This record gives sequence, C-alpha cells and structure tokens, in this order.
Amino acid sequence: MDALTTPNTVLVVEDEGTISRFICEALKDNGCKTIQAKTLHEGLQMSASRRPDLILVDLGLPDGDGRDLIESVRQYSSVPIIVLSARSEEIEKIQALDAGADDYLTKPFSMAELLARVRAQLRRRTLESHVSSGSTIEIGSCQVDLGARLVTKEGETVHLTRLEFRLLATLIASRGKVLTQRQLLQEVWGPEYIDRPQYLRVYMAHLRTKLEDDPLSPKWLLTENGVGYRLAL
Amino acid sequence: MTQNKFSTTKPEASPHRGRLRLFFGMAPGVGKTYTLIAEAHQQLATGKRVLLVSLDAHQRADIKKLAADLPQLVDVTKKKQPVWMSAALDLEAIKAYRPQIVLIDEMAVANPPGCKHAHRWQDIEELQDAGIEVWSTLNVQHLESQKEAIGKLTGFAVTETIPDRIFLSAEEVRFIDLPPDDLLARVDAGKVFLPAVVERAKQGYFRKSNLIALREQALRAMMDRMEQHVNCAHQSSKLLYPDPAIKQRLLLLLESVDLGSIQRASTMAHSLDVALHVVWLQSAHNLPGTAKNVIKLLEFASSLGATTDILVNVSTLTIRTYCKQHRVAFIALVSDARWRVMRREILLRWLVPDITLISLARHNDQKQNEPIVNKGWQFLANRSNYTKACGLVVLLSCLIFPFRSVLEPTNCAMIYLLGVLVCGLNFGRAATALAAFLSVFVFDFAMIRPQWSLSVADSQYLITFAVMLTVGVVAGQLMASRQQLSLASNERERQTRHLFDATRAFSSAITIGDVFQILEQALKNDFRIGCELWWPRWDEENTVEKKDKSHALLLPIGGSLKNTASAVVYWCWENQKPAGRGTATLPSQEYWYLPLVTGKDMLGVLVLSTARQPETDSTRRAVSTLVSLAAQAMQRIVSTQDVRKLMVAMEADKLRNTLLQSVSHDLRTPITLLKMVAEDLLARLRRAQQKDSGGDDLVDDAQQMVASTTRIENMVVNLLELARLQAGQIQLHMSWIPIDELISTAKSELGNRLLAFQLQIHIDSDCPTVYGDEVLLTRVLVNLLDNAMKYCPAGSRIECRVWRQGQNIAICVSDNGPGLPPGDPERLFAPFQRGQKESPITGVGLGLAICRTIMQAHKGSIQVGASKLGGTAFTLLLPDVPLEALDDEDVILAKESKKENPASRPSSSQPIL
Repeated sequence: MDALTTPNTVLVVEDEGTISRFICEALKDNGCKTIQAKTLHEGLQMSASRRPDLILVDLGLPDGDGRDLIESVRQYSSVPIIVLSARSEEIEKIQALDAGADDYLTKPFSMAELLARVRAQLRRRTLESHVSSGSTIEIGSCQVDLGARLVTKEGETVHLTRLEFRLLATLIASRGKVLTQRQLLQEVWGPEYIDRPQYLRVYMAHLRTKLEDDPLSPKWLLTENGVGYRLAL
Repeated sequence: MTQNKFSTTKPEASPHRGRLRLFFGMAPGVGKTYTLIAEAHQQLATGKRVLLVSLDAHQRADIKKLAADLPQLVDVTKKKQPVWMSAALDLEAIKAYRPQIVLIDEMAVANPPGCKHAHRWQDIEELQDAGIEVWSTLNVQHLESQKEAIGKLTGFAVTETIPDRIFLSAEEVRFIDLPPDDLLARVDAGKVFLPAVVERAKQGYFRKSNLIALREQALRAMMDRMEQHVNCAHQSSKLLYPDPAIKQRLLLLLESVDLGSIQRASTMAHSLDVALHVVWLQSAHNLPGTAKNVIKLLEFASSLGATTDILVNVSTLTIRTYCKQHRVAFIALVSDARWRVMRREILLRWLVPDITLISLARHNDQKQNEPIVNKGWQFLANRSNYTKACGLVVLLSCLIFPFRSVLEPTNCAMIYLLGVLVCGLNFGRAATALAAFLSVFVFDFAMIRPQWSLSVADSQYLITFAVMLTVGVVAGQLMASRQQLSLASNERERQTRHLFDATRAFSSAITIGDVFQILEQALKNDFRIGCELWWPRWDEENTVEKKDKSHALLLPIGGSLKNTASAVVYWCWENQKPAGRGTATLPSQEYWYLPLVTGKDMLGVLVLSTARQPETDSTRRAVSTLVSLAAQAMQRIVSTQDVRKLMVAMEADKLRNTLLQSVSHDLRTPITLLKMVAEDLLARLRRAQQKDSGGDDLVDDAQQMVASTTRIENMVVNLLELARLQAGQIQLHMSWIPIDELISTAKSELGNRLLAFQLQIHIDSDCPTVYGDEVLLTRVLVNLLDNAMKYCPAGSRIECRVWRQGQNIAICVSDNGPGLPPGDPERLFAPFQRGQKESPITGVGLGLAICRTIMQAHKGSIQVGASKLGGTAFTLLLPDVPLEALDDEDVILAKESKKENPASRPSSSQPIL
C-alpha cells in the first residue's frame, strides 16, 4: 500500500466506537486515509459524497442492516466492500456476498488478518483495469491465455473442458473476490443448476488437480468454507 | 366392504400385500388340491419358500404322498381327523417361518370356537396382509352369493361360505374343470371318496343332474369374475370413476323381507357396474315382528358389499331427495303388496324421471309358512291386550246396563264406539277389531229388543250394527297404526336425543377424563353398558410429530371391567378394527372392543360390556355412533393439547435462538476489542523495543495477553457452537463434497501450525465424495486434527485415511502420540471432559462433544480407539450416498444455448467472458 502513489480512502462503517478507532489507526499507520461512520444513514451519505476506495462495514448497525448499505452502494459503484460482523452463520456471509460484498471477516478477527484483506482488495482494484480478454494471467506455475483459451503449466498444455475453462475464467474475472456457490453456478452452469452444488465441487476438484502443485494444499483455488470459492491473487 | 367389492385390481391395497391364488372348482374331486400341490412343487423347485399348512384329510393316499415332500410346520398328511375338525391355523408360527407361498387347502372352513377369527378366510386375509402369498382351494357352493341357489338346486344346505369379494378380488383364480361324467367315473374308481361312501355320495350330492348344475354355476361365477375384471380394466384405462366412493348407485327399496331380491339386485349392480345401496322402508304395514328379520336382511346386504340404511315412514318426495343425496342412478322396489309397488313406481316415474326404474322378479319362496308361525307367536304375545279389550267392553256393558231403559240404544252404540277408540289407542289393531265385534255382539244381545237374543226386531238396527262395526274397525286400525308409528319414532327420537345430549356434553369437556365420564354415564344410563378406556402412553421420544403406534404402551385409564384381555386391546389398537363379541375377530370374547378412531388417527381402545343380552343391531349402531362422537371429542382435546405443546416448544425455541444470537453478538464484540487492544499493545511495545532495547518483560506480558485472548475467543466460539448445535434444529445443508476438498479446507483453517507435524493423507479411489454438510464436516476434521496436534509432541506423525467400509465411508485420523488416557474412552465425548483433569493444554474439552453432535446429525458415528501408529485413532463413519451422475457437458451447454438463442445473444459463440 505504501508503494502506491496516491493514498487510498477507506470508509469504516462501525457503531462500536473503540473498534472503529483502532481500525482507523491501524489503517492510517499503513498509509490510508480514513472516514468513520457510526450509522447506516451516515455510511450511505459518506459513500456517496466521499467516493471511498474501499468500504469496511459492520452488519449490525443501530439504524439498520449493513446489507442495505452494500445493496445501495452496488447500484452506482463497484468499490470493494469488506464485511466485518459478529454474525458467524454461513447464511449471513452468503447473503452479504450475494448482495455484492467482496469479502467477509467474522469477529473477533486479528488486525493483521484485516490489513491483509484490505491490501488484497485494494490491489485487486488496481489490477482490474489490466485484465482484459486478450491478456495472459499467471496463476502459480500456470499461464492462462484467455483470448486463445489456452492453459499451460510449466510449458505444457493443460487440457480443460469447456465448462472447466469457463469456471476458471469466471474466477479470474473476479480475482480476489469471494464468489458464492450460487453466483458461480448461475454464471457457469446456468440457472437450472443453481441448487446442485456438486457440479461446482467436482469441477473445482478437477481444476485443482490440473492446475495446483499440491491439490491437497491449494494455494490459488481457495475454498471459503460453506460459502464459495476465491481465486487468490 | 362396499369399496373392496369392486376393486378387483385392488388399487388401495398396500404394495406388500400378498397375492391370493384360488383353485376353483364345481365340486370335490375335480383335482383342485392335486393341481395346487403339483404347482407348489414347481415353485419349490425354483427355490421359493413354500409352506403347506393344511390338507383335507379326506384326500387320497397319492396326494398325501405327493404332499409329504413339501415343507410343513406339523405333518399335515398324517392327520386323522377331517379338515372341518382340524385346529385353526397357527398364524404366528406361519408368519415366523417367513414363507413366500403358503398352501391352505379348503378356504371355506369355520375355525373352532375360541380362535382369533371365526373363519379361515379371515386367517388368509391376515396372512396376505403380512405380505405372504396364499394358495387355496374353493368349491362353487361356498360362495356367499351361490349359497342359496345351490342349496335349492341340490337340496343340500351349505353352511360355510366366503364373501364374494374375496373370490372377485383374488389376484388369480384357476378354474379346475372336469366333465361330470369323468368326475363320476373318478368317484366310481374310488379316487374321490373311500369306497364305503361312494354309493351314498352318488345317490346324494354327486347325482349327475346336480353336477351339471354345479358346473354351470361355477362357470357362471367365473364369467362374472371375468366381466368384473374387464370392467375394471376398462375403467382404469378411461379413468371414469377411479374412486368407488363416487360411483353411482343402485338403490334397492325394501318393504318386505326378501333375501332373494337383495341377491338379484346385487348381481344386477355388478353387471351395471354401480354400487348397491339397500334401504329398508319402515312403515306401519311392515312394522310388527320384523325388527329382527330386518337386521338379518341388512346384514346379508352388507355381506354382499352393499351399504344399508333404514328410513321410517317416508313419502316418495323424501325418496327423491334421498336419491339426489346418494348419487342414485337406478331404483328397484320390493314389497309384499303389488299395488304399493305400482303406486310408488308411478310416483317415482313422475318425480324423478332421470332415474331408471328396475323391476325385480319376485320369488315367493319359503315365505308362506313363516308368517303363520309369526302370527301365532304374535297372538300369544298380545294375549293380554285381547283380554284387556274384552274386559273394557264387558265393563262398559256393565255400566250401561242399569241405564238401558233411560238411554237411547243409539247413544249406547256411541258409548261402545268410544270404548273401541280407547282400545285402538292402547291395545293394538287386532284387539281393537275384536273389541268392535264384541261391542256389536253385546249391543245386539243385551241392549236392543228382543233382549238376550241375537235376532233383531227393528231391521233399522242392522244399519246401526254395520256402521258401528265399520267405524269401530276403521277408527281402531287408524288409531293403532298411528300409535305404533309414534312409538317407533319416539324410540328413534329418544336415541337422537341421547346422542344430542352427549354431543353437547362432549363439546364442553376439557380433558379426556371428562369425555370418558360423560360416555360412561351415557352408556350406563341409556344402554346399561359398562365400559373401560385404554389409552396409550407415549414415550418421551415419540413427540407430537411422530407417534409410532407400535411403541405405545396402552394402559386402562378409566372405568372398571373385570375380565378385559389386554392382548385383544392391543390387536384392536394395531389393526384399527373392532374385536371381541359380535365381531368377526375373536367373537368368543366376553367384551366388545372398539377402536377410538377418527380419520387416520388412532386414539385409544374402548372396551364395552353389556348387561342386556343379546343386544340388538340398532343398539350396536347407537353405541357405535356414541363412541365415535366421543372419539371426535377426544381427538379435539388431543389436538388442542398437541397444538399447545407445539406452541410452547416453538416459543422456547425462538427464545433460545434469540438468546444465543444476542449472547453471541454481545460476547464477540468485547473479545474483538480485547484482541485488538492486546495486539496493538504488542505491536507498539515491539516497536518501542526496537528503538531502545529493553522492556522484554512488557513484551512477554503483552504476548501472554494476546495468547489468553485467543484462548478465550476459541472457548467462546466453541461454546456457542455447541449450544447452537444442541439447541436442536441444526439445518444441515447436505451435498456431495469431494474428500480432498474437505481435508484441504480443514488444513487451511489450521494454518501454519500443521507444518510442525508430518501429515499423511491417504484416500481410497473408490470413495471420492462424502454426502454431508461442508461446514460441519470440516469442523469435525479441524477438531480432530487440532486435538492430535494438541496432545502430540511436535514432529509426530498424523495420518488421515479414508476408505469404504460396507455401506459407510470411514475417515480415520490417527497419530503416534501418547495415546488414550486410562478410563472409559466414551467419556471423552461428553462436554467439558478432557484426557487429564488439570492440564497445561488449552481448551475446555468441547471439541469432541461437538464432533459427536455433528456426526449424530449426519446419522453417522464417531469412535475412538488405539491407532496402529501407536497413538490414538478417531474413526468417523458416514453413510455412503453415491454421487448422482452428472449431466454431460454437451447437455448442459445445449440447454443453455437453447435458452439463449431466442434472446438472440450474439456472444453465444464466446460464452466465457
């Protein structure tokens, strides 16, 4: 982050004052500008007027649900949103991610974890512009040429079926973002398969065997337990 | 019963009901048993479990020899006594043998008294219900509908019959035919009977004319059956009336006791393919002395599968309404008096032109001698009425006599008429007629001149006599019939009132005990019947939603009868049918056992005893109605209680969830804060330390603080997790998960700590996936790996092995650590249990409790034992659900392009980005 030329602005929407203060201090130490909001209403105003580069939002806000904020922000902006919540149930995470959030952290979390996630989302934002249909992307020891639909691993061509390739391309298009099972199934297999997660699981296992060095300890194609998948940057 | 009659294809029968194969013939000796045994041998050869349970001891030696090879419970071929004396079938022993096919010779046999069922065909039905195929033999004369005709044809009364529906609904009927001459030749050759009885048989039942008639009847019965099947097949293909309940009806209106007409109407209903509904029209003409016969009549009708009803004193208009309510398409009328039939027919033709009237030919069979006996009996019964009527006339005469000179003779006549009317009101028709005659006689003899002579001086008096007699008889008749009808309707009204009172009382009852008390009172006061209520006690596990009938413990909760047989109570409970006295099951029992059943729900069993013997059918009907009303009231109470329990459970659940959520939230927030502060402190101290060396103690303290916070965090998370899991409704999101993925996710959750151990993973290739909840199963693996890491020194081996074990997938996490602590390993799975009571290793011992809860929710198990590596091994067993075949990629892509083409998306050639 320090390497980036312009400091990023982070909006922290959190009603617990002390937590908010600590997060802001840590972010400032890492070279970010911060804006604090204590309510949903304030958060909505700030995100519209100050155009932050990243939003951290707590789901349990005194005047409403953080999910509403995510939904309304997504109507006009693709700014990365990370959810911080004491709600640990998977369904909460999935709902927040389906609403448009990019990542999710369950309280209590460690500051180091949070900073890592913030960094990843900011990097994604800068990288996004570089990814286009013609470019080649590196995933570990693999090269993926999206235009030519060609995948090579250590120089050798890896054969992917059409749906495997489509799954990989979908993950690449949202690198660093947690994609829920629903989103992936809808995107790759179509609406008919939305309640058949076994397709996604089996194909993901294929991709791992073909692309990862050690499929049992994947480095790139990561499982978000009970929620979905993420392609690490 | 009605329903079953027409369902030859048996759509409502359970799929596991055993088939019935009948070997059907015209008379003994045509070879039914022989064919049965021969075919059984064929089945035996194919490896079926065949069991022979009864054989007619009349059978010849060659059949016995043939049968001796078949498996049997007791050696039936050696038995001496004839089959009609044989002991009842031992149903339990037969069921315990678990045969596929049971062979039972002679279906139409009555069981000896004291058996479970009165007839063998009921035993056979029970075996069929138990899923066993039954083969049996039957002669045509044993069919209920053929009984009378054959009795008349052959002159031999048939005692034992089976309901026609069994014959009609049997899955298979083999007609074993033999021309009469051949049969006679066999009889002559001594192949059917022992030589001693051959001649007697040939003179009697085995006359050639008899055999021809029997053969014809048998063929006709087969034809009826065929026709039924054709109709059924036709219907089911067209789905015209799939439900027999909505079938149209043939209404048979009976005004006289005529069993033959019911028989004919039943045959006609078969051929028209409608249901038969028999109604007895009660009126003044047929009232006296018929009550018993009417019950017999209606019982006969229902044994033929008809529904029955009694209507009192109805007009043709009422019949019209009745027809509309009961989907009547055809009407047949039967009455003693032809003019009455004609009058009704004319009226019906006019009132209900859309219903077809059917004329049934009348047979005046065996009716002539019966009424005479009846009338004689009636006369004796009414003797006191005649005496009273005579007495009244004599009394009047005595009163009038002193005033005969003062009174005009006409007025005397009037007084006598008054007496006749009084008779009509009180003493019945015949006595009234007698009083009228007697009055005329006395009036003539004593009142008018010449006195003490029957001759009349003034011929004018002849007119007086005639008028007096006519008025007396007619008025008396009218009065008497009014009186009788009003008595009958009073009786009905009384019963209705009782029912009404009971209903009203039931509706205000709050507990089952209240309902029972009201019922007990009503039965005692109105019918002098004692009763006892058996009520199930449900186990704790049988909650409101799932009541398993077979596990209920029945206990008497009210009433007091001395000789209740609890076995009968349980039979009644399990079969939902009445049992005991007056029923088809265990009729020799002292009491009457009625199931309390409403719709599908079985509530309890009511045991009834009667002081009044024998009870009439109408009493039984009234009692049944009362009991079913009580059952409804009980059902209402039970469901109210159930709903209340459910509400309470739901409320408690809601409260617990809210509490959990808020506790979870309220605990997590301060811990987050604590953790942040501690980490921040540590970071700052470290930075300070770097600037000016020193302050190691402070850094150590801060590190301790961070570590403790993490421990608290883990504990709280675990506690909340366990509370959530044990709160009951865990929503499992079941799906197929590749085992690699499960393990890799668990590994990534544990992070770098694993690097200190040698982790080996081995997954057998024949179990690629498990079926379960991803999050929870990962949790189990994480806990087990975490446990291994906690208790083993760094550098230890941890092995994770997956293989198929029967119907399960086994996942084993083992280590070469210190192994299990001494003591029962099961206690490790209880919450707050650890290997060692005070141990420096962190954790409160919730991990394994969580694992067990999760595995139980998956219908799997978790076991602990010694590992081959030398340490501990935890083995998970999960039921294997094979992954359903995935659609081919081309199919998926084709589906998509099909959907996309109409939308004309140009980019369908490049669908990826």
